[in-house]
Amino acid sequence: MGVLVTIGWWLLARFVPPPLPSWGGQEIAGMFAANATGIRVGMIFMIAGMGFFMPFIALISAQIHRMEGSPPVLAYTQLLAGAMSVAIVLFPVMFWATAAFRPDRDPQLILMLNDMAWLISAMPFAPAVVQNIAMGAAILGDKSPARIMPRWVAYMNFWMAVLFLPAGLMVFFKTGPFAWNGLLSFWLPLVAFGIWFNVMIYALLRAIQQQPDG
Amino acid sequence: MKFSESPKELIVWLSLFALTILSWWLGEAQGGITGHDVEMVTTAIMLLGFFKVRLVGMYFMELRVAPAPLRLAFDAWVVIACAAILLVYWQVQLT
Amino acid sequence: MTDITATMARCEPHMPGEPGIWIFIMGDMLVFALFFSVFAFYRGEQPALFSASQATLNTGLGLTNTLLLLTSSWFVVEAVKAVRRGSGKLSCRLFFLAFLCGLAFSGIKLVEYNEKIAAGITLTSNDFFMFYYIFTGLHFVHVIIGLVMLVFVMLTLARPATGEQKVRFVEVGASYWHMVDVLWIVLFPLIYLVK
Repeated sequence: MGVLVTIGWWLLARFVPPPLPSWGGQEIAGMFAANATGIRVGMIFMIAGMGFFMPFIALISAQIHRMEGSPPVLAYTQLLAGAMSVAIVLFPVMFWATAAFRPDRDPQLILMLNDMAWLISAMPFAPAVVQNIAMGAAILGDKSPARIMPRWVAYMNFWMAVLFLPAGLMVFFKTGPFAWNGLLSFWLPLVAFGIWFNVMIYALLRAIQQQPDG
Repeated sequence: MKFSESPKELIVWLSLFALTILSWWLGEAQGGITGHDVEMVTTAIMLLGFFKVRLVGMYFMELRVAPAPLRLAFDAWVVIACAAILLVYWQVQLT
Repeated sequence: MTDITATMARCEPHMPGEPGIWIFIMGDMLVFALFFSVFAFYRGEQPALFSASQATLNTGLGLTNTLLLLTSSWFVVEAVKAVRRGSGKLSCRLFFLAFLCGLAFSGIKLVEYNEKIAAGITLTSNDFFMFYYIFTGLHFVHVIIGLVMLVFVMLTLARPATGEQKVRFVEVGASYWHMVDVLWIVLFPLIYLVK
């Protein structure tokens, strides 16, 4: 999934670094017209990548269920929050695709599609934060004799939750570190997600290996 | 109600209190000076701040008796964070 | 004597709480160090604006808040020592005093924000106030989480069962609270004092 998203978003669509929020309709429309093919292919890659994210979320929920027992409230919470995160990323992808579908549209409409896409991409911090807190709570509450996941993974999740918060402020700013292309609203959550994803893969693999067969 | 066997932490707390008031006073006095002295005072106040951070880390957070890697990590943070702030501050001042 | 007191008596290294909380603490401190650097950078670009805006801040309230957090940290230190000695009730009372300090900090913060908002100054007023609201605001969120943790610590102490796990949990809460103090110790001079 990481590879597909990276290729799609970064290389093909050239959305990393993101376009400036301070740009007006003309610049944004120009950008979509110039790179229409790249954006279209890039979005297809991202949709495929999203597909791989779903089993990952489900796997996490299964492990949380092992830690939690019944009723699996935290497992369901994580599943729901993770599912929302996937769905939420799908919206920007489709808005970008729509903009690239007919680049000769009124620039103001393309501007709006672009705005919607970028704001949705990182501003909704709630699903990610809830997902991380549920994960952390499950690990800390794990009372089984052999720990399914090391406790520090819980704390790492809590830390990640904090890192996703500043992005919620991007709606106020068109420039500066908290704008959608800014250091603290874009790069920080991006790096945070990268770290979180890789640590979770490691923790999941360990938990699966440790799992008794049956 | 006996508060503590050793007054070490109490002394640290009083020192922190005093250093904070000193920083505040320096900050207030800074309003009346100009030129490169301003940057000197800023540097002094930030250094004081990180010294206080180290006091809290070593005595309140008990890092003096913690495993070495943790203590070193904290010290590294103190040095790097302080250096980063001062470097960025000075670099912009001088260009 | 719990295991922890025995370890400390033997002068062996002791990590308060558990490794996980230190990952969180060092991680959070790292992020705030990034915030500090960003602030210093923007300050350097617009010194006049930042100094002028800073002059409208209520430094007295900021100073009071700093002293409050320092004192609350000291209460926490004594509280942890009390728990290790087995004086659960004293510990609980000391944590409560720390909690009150934190509550006072929060109240003063709200007064400060209110003062500014009433004067029409918000986080989009200028770059200085953007950082002021966001960084002190994020710190405030940490304070509130800290207050909740202190409540849980007090509840744990109120229960009769003792043991190493309980002491460790108390240490986790204490360490987190000290981190909140440390962050403010840097934030206060950076935002309120230096020119």
